[in-house]
Amino acid sequence: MRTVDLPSRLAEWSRPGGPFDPAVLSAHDEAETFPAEACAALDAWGLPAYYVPARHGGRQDRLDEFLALLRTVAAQDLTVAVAHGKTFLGGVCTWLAGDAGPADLLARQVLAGEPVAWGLTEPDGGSDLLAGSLTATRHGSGWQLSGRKWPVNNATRGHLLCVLARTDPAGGPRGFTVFLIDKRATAVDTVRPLPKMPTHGVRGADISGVEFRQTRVPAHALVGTVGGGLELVLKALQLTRIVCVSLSLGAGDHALGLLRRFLHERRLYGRQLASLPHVRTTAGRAAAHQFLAEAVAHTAARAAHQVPEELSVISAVAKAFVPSLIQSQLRLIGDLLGTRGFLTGVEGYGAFAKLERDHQVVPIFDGSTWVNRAALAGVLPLLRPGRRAAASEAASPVHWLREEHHPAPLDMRRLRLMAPRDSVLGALPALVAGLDAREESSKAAAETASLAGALLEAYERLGTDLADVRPTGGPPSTATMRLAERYEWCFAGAAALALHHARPRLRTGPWGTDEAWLHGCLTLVLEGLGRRPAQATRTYDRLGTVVASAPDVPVSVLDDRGPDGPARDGSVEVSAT
Amino acid sequence: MTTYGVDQVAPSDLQRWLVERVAEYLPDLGEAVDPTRQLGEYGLDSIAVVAFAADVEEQLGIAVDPTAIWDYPSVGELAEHLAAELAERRPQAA
Ligand SMILES: Cc1cc2nc3c(=O)[nH]c(=O)nc-3n(C[C@H](O)[C@H](O)[C@H](O)COP(=O)(O)OP(=O)(O)OC[C@H]3O[C@@H](n4cnc5c(N)ncnc54)[C@H](O)[C@@H]3O)c2cc1C
Repeated sequence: MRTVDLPSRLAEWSRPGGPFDPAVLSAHDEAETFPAEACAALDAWGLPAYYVPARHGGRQDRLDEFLALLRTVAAQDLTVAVAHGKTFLGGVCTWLAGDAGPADLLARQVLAGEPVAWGLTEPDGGSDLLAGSLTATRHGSGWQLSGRKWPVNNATRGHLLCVLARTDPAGGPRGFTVFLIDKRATAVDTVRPLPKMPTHGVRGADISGVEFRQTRVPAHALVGTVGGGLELVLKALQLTRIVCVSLSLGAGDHALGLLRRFLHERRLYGRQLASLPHVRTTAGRAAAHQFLAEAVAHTAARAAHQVPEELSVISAVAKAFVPSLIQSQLRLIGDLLGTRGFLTGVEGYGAFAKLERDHQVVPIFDGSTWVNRAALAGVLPLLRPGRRAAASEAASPVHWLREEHHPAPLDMRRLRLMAPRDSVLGALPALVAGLDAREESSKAAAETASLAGALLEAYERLGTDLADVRPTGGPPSTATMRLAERYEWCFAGAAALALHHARPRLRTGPWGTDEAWLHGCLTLVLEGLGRRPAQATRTYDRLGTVVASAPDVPVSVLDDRGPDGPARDGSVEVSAT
Repeated sequence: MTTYGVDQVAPSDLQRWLVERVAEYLPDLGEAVDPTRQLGEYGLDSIAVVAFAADVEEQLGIAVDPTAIWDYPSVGELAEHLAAELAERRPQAA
């Protein structure tokens, strides 16, 4: 598989003078200039092909693999991943609209390395998509656009822009339409870039905007149907939000790498730093954050193939949960790095301050943590355990998380605005029952059963609390938002358990022995639910020992992180509907 | 939760029933829901509409996409639409 050579190419490019040389990238950061060399290297390698679905001539056919790719880039430099990966976001609406739109045209452009921007936000609108005032009106056989999109990534560098425009002056959910604009095909001075904004992180990225002044665009700029824009965007966001969490995973990888180097190099009181118990347990906690983030991200990516009709819930959970989790992880690692996490001039360690700044945008864009949590909160009464029929066995994550399982082709037509159920969290009772029925009687297995039992109890309590939630017509209450957060923690625990069930390989090796990674995940989840297990410190300590003593073992439970992933059996399964 | 148990539903019955459902979402509304007014005017926002659609779907036993409420934004229009859908699909769904 071609994707596996990206890590080694990135390692080559990171040598002094290479396009990913950290010195070059930090110089761009300081000067707030675009990391053009790094993006060109990714273009030459062929990353843009992964932004285009296979049916349009690209290589995008598996979201889990795509997440792994973008994560690898993000682990090297988050600004570059944000700057380059944006083209994926810019394209989704058009692929989703199908052949009715300018899909083939866009595919040719992206494959040729053209960046694409996605303009949803407006200066006065923020997260409120229905507040958009950029207007498109019919003009001859085509359209005329007026208004602004800001802030938008790639808005100045990208010749192509996918925008959401108001087509009905009254607005409303049928009042908006998506257009794909090629700036090169517009009259001079009718499209004006808005200046690049100075930013706290991703300083080199092209965070700017665009202004349309009675810009005339041809009929074929229309994406999907007139009035179909909000629906298209809400469905596209279900995919882009899952992809965005790969940026967090990459940031976590980068930070853990720096932490390991520090643990190896730093000696205090005549001893290795990891001999301090607090350091070990904190490092272990940071590793547990990574495993849990991986479990959610990977489950969401596979869910996109298997249960796309559930993505409105699953993508909201992933985007609300993972970036926040990684923010907490970065705080832990920053604490441990101490001065080196703060000083930017100490060789190598300056990268931490940069990645921490860069990562702060991930919980904000593509729908903030709170916007996603609110979307989840709004449908919580419907997700109450037992309210809706459980999914069939074929829809269980244990089935489609198996290593050898080849995901069904991504069928964007199956996306829905409302998930009929949540097969991941819905599987929790069966997952826990499966543990209780295990033959294995080791101490580790008993501990897993006890942690999982506590999680199931917490989930049942959540179910009871959800019974009292009345649906409302407006924004969810603060109490309901907190329930949504508890839902996310339970979901994350279910994802970790499902991965454990599905992949026997994860019960051996440095992380799997004694089910250590799973204990770490479940402990973190129970802490998040306010039920810290008694043995938490010991669990994190054990993980921290591996972090410190086995620096070559990636802090990951996903096979796609290593170049020697097990061979897949190549079978293609048709997903259960 | 009770399922709406009538096979052949008159739009007017359905309308009355929908008015009650909408009112549940708007506990602070001090008046009856006017079936000719758009639900958005009552502050039923786009997320709430998703939940509302799911609620109606569950209780009627037919698929109700949230976009149906976008396309038929008042209770009156929605009732007509759903009554037609029910008449068409109810026999197979049972
Ligand atoms: C670096 C960067 C790049 C960006 N790139 C793009 C891009 O390419 N394209 C694009 O369209 N946009 C882009 N954005 C805009 C970004 O998506 C918006 O900033 C985001 O949607 C939030 O809008 P806002 O910051 O105006 O916050 P507001 O919408 O003003 O929100 C203010 C606060 O209220 C909270 N909030 C908002 N709505 C809700 C809700 N329903 N429930 C609970 N809390 C809520 C928010 O979380 C936030 O804390 C970018 C932003 C940045 C910083």
